[in-house]
Amino acid sequence: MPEDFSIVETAPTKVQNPYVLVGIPDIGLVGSIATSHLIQALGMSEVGHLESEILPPVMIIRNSEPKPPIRIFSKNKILIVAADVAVPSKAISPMAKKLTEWSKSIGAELIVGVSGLAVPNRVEIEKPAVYGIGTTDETRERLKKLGVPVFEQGVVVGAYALLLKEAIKQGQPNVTLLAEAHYQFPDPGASASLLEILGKLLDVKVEVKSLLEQAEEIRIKTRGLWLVERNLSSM
Amino acid sequence: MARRKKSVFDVIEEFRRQVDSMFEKLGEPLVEEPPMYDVGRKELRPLTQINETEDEVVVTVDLPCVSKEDIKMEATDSLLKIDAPVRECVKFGPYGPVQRETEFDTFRKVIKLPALVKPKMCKARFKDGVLEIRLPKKIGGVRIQID
Repeated sequence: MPEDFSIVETAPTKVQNPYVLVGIPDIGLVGSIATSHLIQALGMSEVGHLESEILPPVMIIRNSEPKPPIRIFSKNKILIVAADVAVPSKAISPMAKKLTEWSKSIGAELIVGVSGLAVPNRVEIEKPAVYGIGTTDETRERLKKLGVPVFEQGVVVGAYALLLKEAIKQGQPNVTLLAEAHYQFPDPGASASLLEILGKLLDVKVEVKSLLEQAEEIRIKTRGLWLVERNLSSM
Repeated sequence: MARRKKSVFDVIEEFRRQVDSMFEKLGEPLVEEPPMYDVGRKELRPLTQINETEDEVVVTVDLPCVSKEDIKMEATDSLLKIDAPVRECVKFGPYGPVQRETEFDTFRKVIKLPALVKPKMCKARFKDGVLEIRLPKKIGGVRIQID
């Protein structure tokens, strides 16, 4: 039986024990905004993409060039899997399985999921807190050392939940970071908080000043992606 | 005075506005969600979230690049209309179906409320570009006795 997902490497990704960062549009577009900022800030290059017949029939046009909707970027020890469209629910499970298998096959040190935690009083929160979930004692200890509060009780739903499930099943360490965010609106402030923690975890310098300065503009310009997220996630 | 010949898109857009206006007059907005913009009128439709409690309808509206003093709101017992000019024109490069430079100068939306409300008792607050309007529900009726 053919696999639902395959990973196409268009450039060499021979990195020793990389971090595989996954950014998929969901709550507050936190993961999408954070990964997109990181790709730009670190000057990462495109090295591959995901292919699947169960993804929506979508191609993204960037600078006149058609691109697949889920692409892989690389720089030093970091690989980013960034989705430009929401992943429909039927594609989430096979995608999580494939991404985890692939991460394991390239000896990834960690899969890092980046997402939002919908809070009802987001307007009252000046600086969103970031919580971490680790799939092993070691990853939880690592979060503790970085001063990241552990997400103790609750429910994770969607792509990040299945990435956690697959990580446990396949024995691939996974850390998922959740920043307090608006549920219905793009939230660059939450992405900035998340990037500060991510910088510590990945040991890279990430400036978030520009992200915060452009926050209002980003909120306007990511509205289209937000609508696509809402429409496609129900497919 | 020179007049540009109307394209088929102009005619469709004009027709849509007429139908919108007709429905607004009837007290029912035609479209709640997409389209997210009206290029001809330079209007963006803001993202909104509507929650209902037992006694309130709470509408939250994302209004980045807007100043509190510029927001205008009107409410009836079933509709909420929001007009909010942006501080500076928002410019978009070619994107999606609009493959030309476009600019928008205001957020505008008419929201159909999920329950009847008391418009005179609405309360609103605005922080960090997010507007929250709390509209008390019209709850009334005849007291029922238990036999």
